[in-house]
Amino acid sequence: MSGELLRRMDTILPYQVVATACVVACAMFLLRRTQFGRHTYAIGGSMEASERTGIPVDRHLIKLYMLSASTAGIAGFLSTLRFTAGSAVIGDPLLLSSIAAVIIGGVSLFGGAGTITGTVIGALIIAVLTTGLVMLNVEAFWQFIVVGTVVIVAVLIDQSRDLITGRQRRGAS
Amino acid sequence: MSEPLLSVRNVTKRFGGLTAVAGVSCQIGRGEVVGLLGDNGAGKSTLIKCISGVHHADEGEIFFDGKKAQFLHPMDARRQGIETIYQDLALANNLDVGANIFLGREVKKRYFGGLIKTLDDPHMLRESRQMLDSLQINFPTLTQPIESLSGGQRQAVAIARAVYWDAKLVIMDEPTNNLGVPEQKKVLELIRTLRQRGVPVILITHILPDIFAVTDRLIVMHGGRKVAEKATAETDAEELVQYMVGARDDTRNGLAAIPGKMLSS
Repeated sequence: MSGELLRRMDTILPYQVVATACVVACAMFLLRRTQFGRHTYAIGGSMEASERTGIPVDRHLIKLYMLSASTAGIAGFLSTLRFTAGSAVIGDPLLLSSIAAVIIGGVSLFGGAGTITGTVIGALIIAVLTTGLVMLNVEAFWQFIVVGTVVIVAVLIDQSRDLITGRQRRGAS
Repeated sequence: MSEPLLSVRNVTKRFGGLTAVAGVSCQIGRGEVVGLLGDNGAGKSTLIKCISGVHHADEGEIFFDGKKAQFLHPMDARRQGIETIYQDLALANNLDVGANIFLGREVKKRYFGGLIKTLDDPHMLRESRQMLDSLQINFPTLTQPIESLSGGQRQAVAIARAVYWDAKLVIMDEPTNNLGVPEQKKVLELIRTLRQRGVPVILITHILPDIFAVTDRLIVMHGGRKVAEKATAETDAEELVQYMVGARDDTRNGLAAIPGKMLSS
């Protein structure tokens, strides 16, 4: 009975969407409203300044990596639910896409800039792009090339934006 | 003058075979602006770093606020009330003014018995504005990132942060470098404001006019040693340059041989 109900709900609103919405909401709250988020931006902006103001930088970075790992864990869980099978390397082709999504969303590769909303939009753009390529019957390996090109263009734009504004970066090579 | 706020006694710091600071003693009283002068490599910065907890003195003692100071970490010095404003400012350029003043010491609102804590941005913004107003620093808006501000405005934010957190001693390492002329004036004005509030300032700079504009007393270093300690009113630029290049040395003829001798009363 309840299984039937769940299945019908899933056709209206897939559980992946629900899970993503939850993760996005949590991340937004964390990044915008909490000290944790503020420190994340501060460390991204200037690691040295953060250290001097007494933010435990190393500990904070470890927490961030743990957070990153756990979201990857959630993604793995969802993928297992969907395919009812597991593989340790199922996420490998998604690495480039996720980096592309984040950069298109306005996250600086050098840290200290970016929003969750932007990242969501970036992810949607990449999803539309890859889905579109599949629909156009473009061969799979071309998808990597297209996504890779998008990443390069996005990085170039990110770089030149700072060249234009004359912003100086410390600790970035 | 009552007991000095900071008393440095015979501090020596060596890096391998190089003696960066050799037996320097000095005292800083409350509400006093002291200029620390010297050529590049004279040991000014090393001395300052010993005071602010970045380096550990090999020999000698530092007394702060009546207690022997043993700072293992810059944060220890900060907690005791020694704020250092560095050349490169130590601000997070991507955050706004309020966030920078409260960086690392954010004010939080508590929900569900402290289970969830969120940033109290309106409160921090209000406090920042009040602080800046009391220092007569005017920013049109406090919510834009620091990187859009000028060098002098950023310097002002750094000073405001030091004052907000009740700094007992402010150390400034070449604060007017890379600033335009009106901004240099503003920074000097802020130093005077600090003095009026009874906060002593150690000012490191190469710029002689700045020194004559704000300091009460001067300490000149050369080759790691303190070669002169003078009241600003009793010296002139020419004499200072002679000290800085090592052409004159009070310690050699015994004039400044008494450790931490106070020349101003």
